[in-house]
This record gives sequence, C-alpha cells and structure tokens, in this order.
Amino acid sequence: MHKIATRIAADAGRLEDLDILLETARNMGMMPGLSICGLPDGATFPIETIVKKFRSELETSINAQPNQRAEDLLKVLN
Amino acid sequence: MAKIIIDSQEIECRDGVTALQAALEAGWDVPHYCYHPGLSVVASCRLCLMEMKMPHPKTKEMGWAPKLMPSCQTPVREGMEIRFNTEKVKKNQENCMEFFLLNHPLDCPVCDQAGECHLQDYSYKFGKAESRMVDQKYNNPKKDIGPRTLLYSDRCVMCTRCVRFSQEVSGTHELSIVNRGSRAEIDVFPGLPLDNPLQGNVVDICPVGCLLDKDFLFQRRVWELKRGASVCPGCARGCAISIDHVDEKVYRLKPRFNPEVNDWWMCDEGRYGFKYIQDKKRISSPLVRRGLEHTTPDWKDIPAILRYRFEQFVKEQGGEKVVAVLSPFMANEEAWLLATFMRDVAPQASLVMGPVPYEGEDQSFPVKASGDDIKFTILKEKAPNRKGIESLLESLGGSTLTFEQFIEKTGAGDFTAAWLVGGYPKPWVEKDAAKLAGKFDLLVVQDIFENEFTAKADVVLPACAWAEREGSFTNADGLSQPFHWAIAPPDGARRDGQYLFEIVGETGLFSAARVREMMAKSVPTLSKVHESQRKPVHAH
Repeated sequence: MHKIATRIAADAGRLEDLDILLETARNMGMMPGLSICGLPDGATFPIETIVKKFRSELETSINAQPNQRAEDLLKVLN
Repeated sequence: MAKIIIDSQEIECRDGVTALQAALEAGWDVPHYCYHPGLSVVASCRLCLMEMKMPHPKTKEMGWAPKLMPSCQTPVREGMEIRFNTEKVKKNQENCMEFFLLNHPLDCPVCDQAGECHLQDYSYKFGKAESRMVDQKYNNPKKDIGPRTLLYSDRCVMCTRCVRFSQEVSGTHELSIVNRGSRAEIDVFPGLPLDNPLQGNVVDICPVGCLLDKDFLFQRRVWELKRGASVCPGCARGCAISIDHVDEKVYRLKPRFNPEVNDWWMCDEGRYGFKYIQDKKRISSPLVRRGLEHTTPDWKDIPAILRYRFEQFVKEQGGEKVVAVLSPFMANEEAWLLATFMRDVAPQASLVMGPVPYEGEDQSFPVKASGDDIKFTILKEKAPNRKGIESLLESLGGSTLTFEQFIEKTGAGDFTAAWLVGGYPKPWVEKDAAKLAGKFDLLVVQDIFENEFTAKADVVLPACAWAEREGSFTNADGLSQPFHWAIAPPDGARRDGQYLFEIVGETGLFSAARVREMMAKSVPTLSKVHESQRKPVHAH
C-alpha cells in the first residue's frame, strides 16, 4: 500500500491503483479484528477513507499526470 | 472423541485438538503456515481462518459469525459447526496468499523447495492466478546463519516456525525476528550462529525455501526423489526417518512422525550420518583366501563354501572353539539367522555381543529442561540395536559373552574360528582386538570398511549399510521398529539377510517378515515389530 501511495504521489499512478488500494485495505481488516492485533486497522482506515471520500480528486490528479509516466516507471521497475 | 461438523459433514476427532488439526486429520486441505502440531500456536499467518457458528451477542441464537476465526487457535468442542467452503473464507485465503507473495522473489526455478513448497501448493489451490504487484519488491539479503544452514530472507513468509522451534524444542534461542512490519526478517545474533544438534529440523519445518540445508543445496529436484521409510541407526534412540533417494544414491534423510520415539524431529548426527554409504573405500566384493592367493567366488556358492569350512573346522578342532561376534549394527533378523547357523554347525559355539560405541553424554532438548519437559534426547550409545542383540543372546542361551571376555579368551587361545560382524561407520577395532587377528585358523569377517581383521581373514564378506538392508532394530527402550531398504547394495555386494538366509538352509528371497515368523518360537520378544498406530499427525 505504501508503495502504491508513493507512486500516486509521484505522479505515476494508474486508475486501477485506486481499486487495488481499496481492496488491499479491506483485506487487511475485512472487519476490525481479522488480524492478530490492532495495527493494520490503523494503517488501513486512513487509506480507505481517503480513497473513498476523495476519489474524484485522486482520479483528477492521476489523469493530469504527464503522459506515459506510469508506464515508463513500471517498465523500468520490471 | 468429539463430534464436530465441518462443511456440513459430521466427523469425529480427538479431544483437545484445535479445529485445524481436526480438519487436517479428517482429510480437509486447509492452508496454514504458522501452525505446527509440535510448536506453540501463534495464529499469525491468518491463512487458516474459518467461519464458525457462534451465539449472537444479543439474541443468543447460533448463527454464522461475520468475523472469521483462526482455526489453529480454536479448540474443538462437542457440536461445533465450522465452514471452509464459503466465499468469505476463500477470499481471505486468496488475499492472504497475495500478501505473502507481495515481496516474494520469482525464485522457483532455482529454489530447492520447488516441488514441496507450500507457497506453490497453496497459490495453486487457494491463491490468485496473477500478481498485481507492479512496484519494486524489497530485497532482503541471503544469509549464512550456521555451519549447515542458509537463510534466504527474500523468500521468508514470517511464519516464525523456526524461531519457535529454537525457543521451544531446542531451547537454544538462536533465531529471532529483527526489524518491523514489511521489513521484518529472521536473523541470528551476530557471532552466535545457528549451531545446535537439532538445527536441521528448521529446514524441514520451513514451509518455503527460506531455510536451506547446505548439504542438499542444488543437489536434486525433490520430485525426482523416491521416499522410503526407515529407522535411523545413529544412536539407540531409533528415530523414524525417511530416506530420499534416487538412482541408487541417498540424497537426504528426513524425520517421520513417530509419537513414541521422536515426534517430528531428528538430530543432525543421524540426519547427515549417511555419507559413509557412498564412501569409495567400502569393501566391494567377497574374498576367499587360500594361502597367499585369493579368489572372488560367485555369491551363489558362498553359503556352501562357508558351511563347508565351518563343518570341516568343527570336525578337526571341535565346536567349542567357534565364536560369532554379533555387531549392534545388525538387524534382529540377520543376527538370528547367523546365530542359528552357528549353533547348527557347532552347538557349543559362543555368541558375543559386539563392541558398542559410546560418545560423550546423553543430550536432552530443550537444553535446560528436565523430566516431562524434555522433548528430544540424543543418546550417547551410538549403535541402533544393542538391545535387540542382547535379547537375542538371552533368549538363545548357551555360551554368550561380552566383547571383553571374547578378547581375553581369544588371547588365551580358547577360540580359533570366528565369524566377526562389523558394519560400523567408524573404525571400531581397538588395539587389544587388533592383536587377535592372527589367532584364528578360520576367520570370516563381514564388514563395510577394511580393518585389521579383514586383512587377515580367510573369507571377507562385504556388509551392507542399513539403507540397503531390511530388518528391525530394537531401540534403547525396547521398541522394535522395522526398516526397509531404499537403495541396492553396491555392485559386488549382496544384502546380508539374503546370504544368511541361504546359509541357514532356506531358499528363495530373504524377507524380514518371514524371518520374524521363523523367530517367533525361539525369540518371541523380537518377532513382533511396532508400527505406530496413530495416524501421522499432519505437519508439513
């Protein structure tokens, strides 16, 4: 999650990344208490709320990225 | 015996087990990493989560709880209802597998664990087909944590089985978790390597290819190996083991579950103590000496040659000068066959218990435990069958001696014909015994490696290692356990049981079970072997 969030902040996110973030956050705590202690809840709740409530802002910023930035970066990493 | 309902099927299970254990024993394949029946429960991997019927907090009605429970931490209760086949459970398994594989390197082609890897198996059965991880993975270093083990941290799934093992079973606390979160790694303290006599077990319990055995690294792919059940001959404990072999070569030994002897573990001495089987210096063919010449007779003639030689000797010098030394490395059946032949040819022949090697002290684990807390012991008696040979000598009666008495009497000239059985992996002939080599007019030596006796023997028979023979060993507690051969004897040698069977006058193939039936009258205690009745408690 941290990696995806950093990538979005660096203007290299993709639209699917938002869905991945949401799903990952939900998996870590399908309901509070699915994990062995309370730390994952602290990590996932901010991500979930930001992506849910400010989704349109995030989508706009991703669409406003310089073209090809995401694809180029991912090509380098892989 | 409790009755529980899993996936709408009623099953019976033992009392006091966890739900995961009950499901595994009943045949369900529930994925799990951190759970191991021999270690404490941590429920940290969250892969085994199940749906369970619980009373509603307000209405007290039984309903499927929306929160998934870890099955490894929930003990069974009469009438419990659980489910593994629902969407929720499957989604959880998929997502957990995705998390485990997030930073996992694509190492399958070079990883030793491929073929017996639980990441592979569970991804295939319960995981997602593709990875969505497009960012850079964390590269944890590969570490050399001990003289016999490597730790590849990039493959680790942090199940912490190895850490719990080094805390609870070996008691040596070498492994621990360092760093936090997604950067957590398993490591040893600098300067204190993973070096205890049970450390090979961490390689067995690691579900992925993180902890690797330096001895087996890159040797062979596991799906090419065949597995045979056997008993370790390293010490008188008699741990149940499996021999992984292919192409007539033994590649590694792994422990088998045996609740009466070794549970799930085995010690390093036994685990790595099979190299002598491949030693090039082994005696490779039989030898018959006449004066200064020697010939290599055909195996089908050897029983007749031996019988003739002994019968001649008894006619000339008398049966009380004949002695047979039975090594504690012989199987019960082989020793009985040899003793029967000896007493048949010379009823006053003496039978001697071969020298039993002792090394150091008994070691018990965990290191500072005592009494009931002891989980594993390595005995100082380094031979597998002293108890069996002792019982045999007791039951057969007649003239039986200790090895010291044998040395004394031979020195005094009381014995001039002998059949010595060795089979020891290390040199066993001490100085007082070596002096006696020239005292025999008829000397037959059955051994693996050459020594002072084989140099002077009239007949030298190549003995086979335990992995090439069939029979049973009786451990220090009196438990007789059967072992079966895994590989063929080297070219030129033959299984000891086979020619001993023929020498006694039987025809056909030697089979340990058949000899045990024959032994039932004269040695009833050794004719029954113990096979563990409890189903192997599932542990990977």
